[in-house]
Amino acid sequence: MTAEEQAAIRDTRAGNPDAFAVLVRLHSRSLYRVAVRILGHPARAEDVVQETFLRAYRALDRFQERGEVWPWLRRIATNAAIDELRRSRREAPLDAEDRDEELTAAPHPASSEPSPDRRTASAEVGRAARRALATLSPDERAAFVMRHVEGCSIAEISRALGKRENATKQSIFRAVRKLRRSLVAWTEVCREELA
Amino acid sequence: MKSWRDEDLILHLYGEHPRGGELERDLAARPELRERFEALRRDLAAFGELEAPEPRPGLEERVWARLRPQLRPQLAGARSRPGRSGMGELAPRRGWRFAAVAAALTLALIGAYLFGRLSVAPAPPASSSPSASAERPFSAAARERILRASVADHLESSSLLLTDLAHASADQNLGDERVWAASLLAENRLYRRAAERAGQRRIVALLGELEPFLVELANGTAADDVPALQHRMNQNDLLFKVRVVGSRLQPNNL
Repeated sequence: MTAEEQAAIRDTRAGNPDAFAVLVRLHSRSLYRVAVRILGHPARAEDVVQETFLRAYRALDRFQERGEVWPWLRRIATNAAIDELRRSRREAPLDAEDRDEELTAAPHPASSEPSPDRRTASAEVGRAARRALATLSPDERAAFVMRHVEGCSIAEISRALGKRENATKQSIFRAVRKLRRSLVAWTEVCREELA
Repeated sequence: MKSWRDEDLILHLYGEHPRGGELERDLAARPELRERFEALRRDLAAFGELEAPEPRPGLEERVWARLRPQLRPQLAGARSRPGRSGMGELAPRRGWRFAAVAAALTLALIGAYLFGRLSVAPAPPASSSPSASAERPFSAAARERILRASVADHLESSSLLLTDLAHASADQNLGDERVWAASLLAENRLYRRAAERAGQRRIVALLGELEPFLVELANGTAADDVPALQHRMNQNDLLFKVRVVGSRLQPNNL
């Protein structure tokens, strides 16, 4: 924990809620990136960032035994994002095509000045990736994004999701199987385009 | 010769296979295994770095502006409330359990309302695309009934909570009520949005009035603010309004 974070937590707990603004300033963007990758929806990701800080504030008295602020916040954000993902899917099935802004999946390494064909292929891969991600369950999506994109270990993901490591592994396996099935046709096309 | 499954290759790709050394040796020695591993790597590379869009400028300011009104000063010693352990804090009472179940059921209904459609056939025709599942929109009248019934249930739960609070003693620990309020808050926001979309102004107004109260109750930390909460509730006639509107929305009063 940095000295700045330490002071912010100490002052907040001493009765000064304004000191909490330091954590908001330091971690909002990183939390946003975690949330938007799990949700694929910028506006909802911003709501998740706010919800994360609210939960963190309310749980601040239980933070004392934890050493690092960022993993703690990330765990709260992950759970808040999963809650939001479940809620949004109850309201309406996710439809990647309906979203205003979306994640873009980086294609295979390309030259610094991609040709129109490459850009088209990249866009196709991005769309295919979004469709594929939208087929995952909230737990599968969260586990996959945390492992594949965020680089979290399975042990970390298990702690964040409140699951046993075997269950987390199964979520990742299922996610990879689904993603590969969804992507197989597109990746073949893309490979030819980028060759 | 060891038969490696796809799951083994996935774990190895992420550097988490417990026998990674053995698998690595097999990858070097067996072209067909290496080809499977490379295919996996290529497929997942399609996701590469999932590039998150940058937030709109001013994210931190927006988050803080929305967050700050919900933060109440933390009180020293609040984490060691007498007579209640950390688990006890979360132990649901009967009313809370009822409210949680009711909220879950009504949330499902309101979700269907919000998007005006309901799956009516589990298996789409063979010619349909996966996204074109057999869905049929509710009629406007049916959606209105669902909204009203859902809000009525929500207001009934809210009324139980407010009644509980109205009868709380000045020094009562509000741990259960705070958990309950937090559970109602999410539903309240959802129903308010649904009511806005449906042009139900009275419902919107009441839920808009209820929301900050639920926020305050859910996020409070002190035991000594019971009188303040009761005062605010009485000042706004909140319990009365919730009961009246809830009663009017009950199906037998429609």
